[in-house]
Amino acid sequence: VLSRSHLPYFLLVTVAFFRTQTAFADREAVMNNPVLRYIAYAVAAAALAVATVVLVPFIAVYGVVPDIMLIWAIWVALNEGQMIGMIAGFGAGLAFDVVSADVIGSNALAKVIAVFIAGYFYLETREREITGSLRFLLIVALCALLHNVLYYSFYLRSTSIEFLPFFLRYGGLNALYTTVISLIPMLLISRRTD
Amino acid sequence: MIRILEFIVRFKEYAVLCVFIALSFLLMTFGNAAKLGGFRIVVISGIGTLQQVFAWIPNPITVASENTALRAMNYRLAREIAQTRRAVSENQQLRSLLRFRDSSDYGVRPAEIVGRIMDKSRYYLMLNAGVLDSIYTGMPVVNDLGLVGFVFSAAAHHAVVQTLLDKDTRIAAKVQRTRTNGIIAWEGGNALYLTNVAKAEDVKVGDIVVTSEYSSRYPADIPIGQVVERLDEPTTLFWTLRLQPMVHFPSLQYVFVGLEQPDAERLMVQDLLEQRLRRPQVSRSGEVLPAQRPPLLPRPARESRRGVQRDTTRDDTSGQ
Repeated sequence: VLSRSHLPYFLLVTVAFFRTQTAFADREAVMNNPVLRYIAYAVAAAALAVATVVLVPFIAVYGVVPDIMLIWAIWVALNEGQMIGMIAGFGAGLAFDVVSADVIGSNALAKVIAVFIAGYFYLETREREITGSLRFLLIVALCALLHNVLYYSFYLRSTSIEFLPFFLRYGGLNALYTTVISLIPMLLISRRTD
Repeated sequence: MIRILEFIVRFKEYAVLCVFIALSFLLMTFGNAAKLGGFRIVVISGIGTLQQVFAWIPNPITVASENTALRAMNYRLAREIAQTRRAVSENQQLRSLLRFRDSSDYGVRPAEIVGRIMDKSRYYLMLNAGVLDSIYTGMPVVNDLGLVGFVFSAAAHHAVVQTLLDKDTRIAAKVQRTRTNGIIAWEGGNALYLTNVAKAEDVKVGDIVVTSEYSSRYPADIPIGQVVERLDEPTTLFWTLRLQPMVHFPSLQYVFVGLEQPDAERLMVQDLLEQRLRRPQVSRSGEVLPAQRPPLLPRPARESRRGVQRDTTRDDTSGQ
């Protein structure tokens, strides 16, 4: 599935992510200002929405792509709490619905509920401890599965397609791939925390 | 009032969640993203331009399968070219004799695929041609091998194509050899299924399935797929045929858009029928009855492969 030709893409994504992290780390003042921080979140959401449509298909494996918008929304929920996380999740879902040719509101609904669950794992002053550990992967896996169950329940409601095989083929693999991709932010945050 | 406010503040997370859920359902009533009109066109144009910027990047995952498919196609084309030459001259003679009008003779416009929108199980293609190139919503999209899908929405310079690999796919189709009719559907993966084929019909593995004259969206006789398996359902009177699509979707690079829009009047009449089928009937006593089939569609519902009642009379349900 993965070959040497994939290496440049993974390197590109990793370096881009690392540089973004470094840029934000140098701007502690920006991150300490709530208004500027939320603007930064909005810009990141817009950039990720475009990346989802333009770049993510290049790392598709057998037609399965990771949900980087969901990872981002969960990360916000674990850093800012349930309330901000839900706003981020709804915004991310809406942006995803708009840039992809999906029914407007379907992803927003699934992401809001998934991020609402992720918000229960928010611990004030211990954000990095969670996002930089394996707990982050478990939370992403749980929320991605829940997200896909909700999404496919709506997606398949007017069809005669059997839910379980379809969900395992698309929803399950998507949740797995999303969890694997969430390793990148987890490792970066873990390294910075150390 | 203050108590209510206190209650809301106390459970503000749940209140916000309820608001977002309600908002999502409200947005979903808009239905398809294509119905957002102008806003959607702006987004498609923007995304199309961005995808065109990155179109030069080869997709490494599809290169191997593309090579294999191209080699197989090359071999097949080389074998078929001799037969085709002979068939063309023979066909021309017969046409001139019978004054046969080729029903599939419609104009096409070539377009390049500049991006792919992959959203979980949905698979859309972004074309570098749009309304200014006379490409409009609903037009059929084909390539040299067969049917690809139809134009889902179109902007000035770009258009989005919904491929056959979509849960909404319902195409009236027929087996080319025997002209046996059925309905094409997709249920995940790379295979298509031809349903509603009576067991009495002569259908074999290897038969080619093409679009039918009954289709309101696609011209007739466009190849869709080849029968690779005949699924026997002991409890029904129908075969379900598993098809290998003619088109190799991951390696698609260029397509042709048929410059023929679906008959608007036919689609409108079909929509009216759909609405009537969905509308619940009310008895004289005020009791709500289940939606009833009008008398002009006589075929009874059958039990599907999974034991679920499915309305088999709805040929081409989504207007395809």
